[in-house]
Amino acid sequence: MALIVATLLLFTAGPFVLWPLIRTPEETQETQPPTVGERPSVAKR
Amino acid sequence: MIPSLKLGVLAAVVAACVGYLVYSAAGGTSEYYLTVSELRSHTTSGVVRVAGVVQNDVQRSAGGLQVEFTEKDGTASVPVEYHGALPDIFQPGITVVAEGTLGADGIFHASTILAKCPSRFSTTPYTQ
Amino acid sequence: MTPYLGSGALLAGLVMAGFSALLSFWAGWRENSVMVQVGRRAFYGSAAMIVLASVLLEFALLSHDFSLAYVVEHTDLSTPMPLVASAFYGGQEGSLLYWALVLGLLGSASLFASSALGLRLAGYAAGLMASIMSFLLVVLVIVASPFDILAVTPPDGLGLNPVLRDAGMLIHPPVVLAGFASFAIPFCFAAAALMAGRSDAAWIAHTRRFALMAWALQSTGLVLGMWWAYHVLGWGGYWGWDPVENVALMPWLATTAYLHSSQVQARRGRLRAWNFGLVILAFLLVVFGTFIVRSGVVPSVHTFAVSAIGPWFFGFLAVCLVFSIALLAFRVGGLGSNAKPAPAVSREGAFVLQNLLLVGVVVIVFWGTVLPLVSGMLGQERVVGASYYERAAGPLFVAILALMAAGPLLPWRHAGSPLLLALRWPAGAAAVVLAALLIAGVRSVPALLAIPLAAAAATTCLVEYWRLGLKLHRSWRGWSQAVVLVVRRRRRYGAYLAHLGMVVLVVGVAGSHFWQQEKDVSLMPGQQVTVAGYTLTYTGAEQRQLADHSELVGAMRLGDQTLEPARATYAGLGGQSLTHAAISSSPIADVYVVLTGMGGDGSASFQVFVNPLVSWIWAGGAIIILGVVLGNVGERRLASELAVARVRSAVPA
Repeated sequence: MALIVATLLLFTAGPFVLWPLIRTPEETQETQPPTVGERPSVAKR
Repeated sequence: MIPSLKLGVLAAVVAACVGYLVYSAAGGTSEYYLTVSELRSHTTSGVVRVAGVVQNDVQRSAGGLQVEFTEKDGTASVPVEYHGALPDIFQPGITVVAEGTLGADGIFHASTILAKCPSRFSTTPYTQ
Repeated sequence: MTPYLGSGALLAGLVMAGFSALLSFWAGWRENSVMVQVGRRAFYGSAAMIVLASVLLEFALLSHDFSLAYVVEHTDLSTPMPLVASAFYGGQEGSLLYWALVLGLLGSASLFASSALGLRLAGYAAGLMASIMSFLLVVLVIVASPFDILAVTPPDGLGLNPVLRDAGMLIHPPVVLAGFASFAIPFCFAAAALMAGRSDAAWIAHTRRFALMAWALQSTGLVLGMWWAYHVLGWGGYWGWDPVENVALMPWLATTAYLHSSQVQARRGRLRAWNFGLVILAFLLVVFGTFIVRSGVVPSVHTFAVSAIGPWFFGFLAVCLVFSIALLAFRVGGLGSNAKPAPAVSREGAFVLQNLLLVGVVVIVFWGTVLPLVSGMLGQERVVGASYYERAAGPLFVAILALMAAGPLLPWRHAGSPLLLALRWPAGAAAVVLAALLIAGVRSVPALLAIPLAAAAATTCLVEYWRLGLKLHRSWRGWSQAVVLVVRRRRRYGAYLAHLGMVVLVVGVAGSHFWQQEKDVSLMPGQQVTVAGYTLTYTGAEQRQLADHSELVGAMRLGDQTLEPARATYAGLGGQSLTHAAISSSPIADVYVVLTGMGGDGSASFQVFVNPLVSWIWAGGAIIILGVVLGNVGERRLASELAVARVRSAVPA
């Protein structure tokens, strides 16, 4: 029973967690320089 | 003197002080922590702490400030005599730590009684 | 229903935490911005699951859901509602969930604010935090679940133990547990910086902010614990050097050292390896403390039954220890600085000495705490009492007090003869107080050292405030300009206020320690007893019936006040009875009365304590927190300013 609840919760939380992955392919239409890792203005919350 | 050597000397001095303080304070004030069974075989005559379970023969007098009871642990038991305020939860069945000396009369004269606080973190399961 | 939802939430939280840990480490290594964000969101998701589980547990408690073993073990129908709510963190499983809750919330906040630190650091920090979270959740899911159900639902619970039925239960445990959990956050950022091989101004500011938060929480928790012990335990004291107290104190000491030495790092780029060591030490002490406290390996007046989670925490401690030592060993080489150390007599020198002394106190307390364990393994078990800690740590505390008096007046670099001039005020204050004590007949050397030095330290703070006032007066351009000037320096003057609070607290401790008086007495109604100039009259006893207990009250009159020390008997718990001490407080002293028993002849026996200056302890604690809050509120802008500065210029890493 707990497993079922856990699975349901994971499915609910999934889109929120994976949002940056879902969103980014759309953004690759714009010019996106390769991430060097030092771009505080780009790093999202 | 090069700076890191100065720091090293300072640290060594502080460490030496700490070491001395620990040694002198612990050496002078540490006590043996025994179970009742060990108390019988323990030969030092100084102050010791004895842990055991309070038995059913608690006797109080002098308005609650004088008490005699037996501490038991496993197979051995020892009569304890104490004058002073007892911890709140003192009653037969709880574990106490008595601090004091074992007299020649076989009675443990306690100067302090510490009771173990009710277990907040006991995982003894509830059984009906 | 609730238990299944709760268990499910915990399980989902565990999956997300594990996922976050693995992904964040990988994403940080690869500096993959998208994946770092995903990993961070997974941590937020795990935190959300913990919030859900917490809400469910609290709901089960408040609705008296006795199908849960946890609710049965810690509440009953007659327990007042606030205490029922507090049972959330009152038991083993619940307090672990509370830990996870604090880690989840504070950790999420720290990660949210960490985006400015660079991808690798942010990724590693999230990975570490998620790893700790995963450990807690593994224990919660497998070993100690608050949602375990009973085969048969009983009609009533066992109830909260009487000793815990006090207002203190509502505030002390949540604050101190939160304090413990919050030390994990600076640890994660420190370890992440070591792993990433970088640490700069933005990282220092970020780590320091969360170390300060942990320090403030723990300070509050410690003072609240002292206050609770004083009010509840009935021995007229507030600190017993019990292992449980010691493990709360040690991380606080290490973090106090860090808060000062981090200033040296910020200003001059020195002591970096040392600072990493301190932050890591604080967290290791927390894990060690949790293991000690929950495993029953060390004798303590706080019973902790040998429980199943002991071995788990021991394993976690071993892993953290090995990880930290390896990390420091590999990375410490690259942390040396090119800056020359300042001369010994300087602010930097004072901070270094203070750090060494504080670490010395940690060693002393640690040794006292583990001695039973070590001696037990080597032969006959030995324990130390309060006098060990006082004799060993006392001199170090006195030296730290002296540094508090001199330190703020020392310049950062070379201190020449102007120093002697600056020190005249604290020295003068110390001399005056010393003379006053000697004239009053005080001969105890510790008191003659501690109190004048405390006066000196307080004077130094006041001198600094005076100087600020002078500066404002000289360059007066209106109130708003003055406010801006103060606000810009608020960290410094907030710190001085905290110092002042600490001095007040120390004086309170000294007063109640050196000059406590006590009398044991048996009185018939109408008889009087005098202790330290306070006269109390026993007016008679009465029996009262309350909701969950009955009370025997032995009323005493002090002046125009009535004190009602009582003995409370809780029928539902096998007749266990408790002392309710009656306390009359004033800034000068507390009169503290305990009813120890009734004689058959109508007499009542009492213990009467007069504890001077105890209120100063609580006042000092409040002033410390006020200083920390005033000095640091609204620092978010500072961190982003530093981040911008970092991008623009090459700040030495």
